Amino acid sequence: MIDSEDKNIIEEYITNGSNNAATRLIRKYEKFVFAIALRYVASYDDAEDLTQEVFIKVLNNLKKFKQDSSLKTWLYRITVNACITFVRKKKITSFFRLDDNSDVIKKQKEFSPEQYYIADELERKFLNELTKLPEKQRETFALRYFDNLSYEEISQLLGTSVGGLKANYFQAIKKLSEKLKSEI
Amino acid sequence: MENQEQIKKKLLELLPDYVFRRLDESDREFFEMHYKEFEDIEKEVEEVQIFFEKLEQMDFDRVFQSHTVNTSVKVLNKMERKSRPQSSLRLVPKLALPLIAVIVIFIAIQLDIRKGRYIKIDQAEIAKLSEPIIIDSSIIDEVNSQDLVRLIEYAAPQKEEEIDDEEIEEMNNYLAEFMNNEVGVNYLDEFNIYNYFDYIDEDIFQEIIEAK
Repeated sequence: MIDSEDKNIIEEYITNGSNNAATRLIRKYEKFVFAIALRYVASYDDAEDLTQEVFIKVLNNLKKFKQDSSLKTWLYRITVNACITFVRKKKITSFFRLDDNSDVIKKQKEFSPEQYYIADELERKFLNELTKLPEKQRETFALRYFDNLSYEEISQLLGTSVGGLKANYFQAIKKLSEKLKSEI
Repeated sequence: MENQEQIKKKLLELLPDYVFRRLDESDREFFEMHYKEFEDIEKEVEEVQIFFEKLEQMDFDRVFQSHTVNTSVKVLNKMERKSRPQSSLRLVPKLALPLIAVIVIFIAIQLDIRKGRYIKIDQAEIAKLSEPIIIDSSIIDEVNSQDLVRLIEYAAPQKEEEIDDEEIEEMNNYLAEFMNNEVGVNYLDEFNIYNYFDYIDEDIFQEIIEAK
């Protein structure tokens, strides 16, 4: 299940607490974790903070990783949990704010103009449309297209049958191509 | 017919991976052999193909790279900071507010308990209060209207008498006659000398007192 490179990194980190091993692990998966966080929180700044938070959690709990699944799927679960907790907290704090709560929550699903400074128009529009998809469709598409995960792996992560995933994948692509047909 | 539906269902499932070139050899051959049999699937393939070409132009790697620069350094720095022994004083600001809240609640509860401790409710007294008041009508009959008028006059605040300039002048005349021995002290009794205390010179007043 776990690839040999990941196994070496984990062993090196657990036995020596090596910063080098930690750096290798982070560099290998930082974009993967960041992309997941970005899909959930739709904010570059929050996604950056969450990425760091996830790696701190991962390194602190690496001893507990049973290695019966791939490191990537373990990372995915930790990242999604962190994102869900983050979004929940943000909803609660925005509820107690004096400004318009519904607007705050709505904005979480859209990128603000200043967050687009890095992304080009094309990527910006695509990411914006991607975050609007239902969670299962969005995650199936992203994990399959960007992260090259097999349907079996995605099925384990999302708790959906392979048949259901394929339907979700097709629906996601259909919606995205429809939405972006006129814009891109 | 059923076979055609099954083929179509399978084609739809394979469609994205076919367009994204991720099908294995056997599935790809199956897809290419059948998809042109269905007009709608052929159209879908064309549309997804256009979408895929656009997607391939996008450089997400660059976008993600720009946001994950130095993540490892930041993470390791944060972990190092967390592992350093920290002064217990750092907890003071965090604990101060909850502690104050607990103290305030404790005091409020104590006050409430004490308040309850000193109030003794006598059920017999309460029962008495709830009894109807019986008024003896014979007593009311004895009170006539004159009594009531007197009662009202008595209860009404007494209006302070005002002394005008004429009265003071008259008083001074009396006093002058008294001082010149033109009249006796009894003559002054007609006039209530004590009402004019504030207006009489102290020496004259003492002389009047001695004469009386």
